[in-house]
Amino acid sequence: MSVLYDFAQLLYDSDFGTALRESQYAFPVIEGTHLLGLAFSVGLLAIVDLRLAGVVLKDAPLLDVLRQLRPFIIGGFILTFATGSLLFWALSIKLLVNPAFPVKFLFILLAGANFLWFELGLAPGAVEWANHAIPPIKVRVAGWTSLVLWSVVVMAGRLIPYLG
Amino acid sequence: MTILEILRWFQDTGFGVALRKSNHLVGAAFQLVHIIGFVLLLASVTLINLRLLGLAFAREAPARIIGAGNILLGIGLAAAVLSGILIFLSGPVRYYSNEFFQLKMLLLIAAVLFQATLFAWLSRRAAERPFAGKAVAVASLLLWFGVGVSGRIIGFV
Repeated sequence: MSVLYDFAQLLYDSDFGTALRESQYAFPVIEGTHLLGLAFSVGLLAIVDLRLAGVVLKDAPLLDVLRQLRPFIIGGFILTFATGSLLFWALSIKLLVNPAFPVKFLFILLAGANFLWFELGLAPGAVEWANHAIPPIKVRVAGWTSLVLWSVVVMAGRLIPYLG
Repeated sequence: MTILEILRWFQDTGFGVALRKSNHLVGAAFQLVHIIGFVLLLASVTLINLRLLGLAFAREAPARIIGAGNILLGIGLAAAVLSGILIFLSGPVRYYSNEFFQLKMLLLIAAVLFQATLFAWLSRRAAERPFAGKAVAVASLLLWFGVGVSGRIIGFV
């Protein structure tokens, strides 16, 4: 763990990290862009999750919903990750000792595991249920699971300033 | 009575004091509902406007995507507004004098009015008037994301 702390200290003390932390406008604008990225990544993914769960867009073919939104979701995740990295660069050490931060990362990992289960375990059989309004139970569970896990990620992130 | 005087009066009522003096984790809980509502709201706006711009679901009728998106938009907006009112009332004078809060409220009023009138009217005719559909889509994205970004900046000024 000390390697991680040493690395975080290095980022924290760097000129760029310090400038970012102390800047009047850059920091809030990056926070704002992080939110914008979240709307595309977690937000559009939530709409896909609700389709998997059989709640919305039931008459649109499932694979179509997945394919149509995928590039925007991936773009959103790239923007969220890039702005998140900048925020980490600025706050590194403070984030490592914040209880909300490891929780956020744990839930990102869990959401990633759920995604792999869907992509490798469920998606190959999609031809059988792709056009159903309500997909099979396993697929609905994967959708609800993703929705809950990513919501926890967003909430843990929002709690960072309250628990620091 | 000016707005500021009304807000000062409210801050000193029992409800106002209770909200202001409540544990900071109560305030954090309002913020959690606010951010989840907001992400859902912005995602619905994005979904609807990607369709109007022809960037997603080009084979689906715009009305179908708009209909589904509007339900989610309504839920997200309701969650964000209700939690937002409680957040505002926990420090009304402080929020009222914050310039990014003022900007956020102006953009919010503009976004709601635009979405309910010109947007609703022209987006329903997007199939016959694709250019008008695209123009209102760009305006809608700018307004709603403007609300979100200016809101995010409130805490920093």
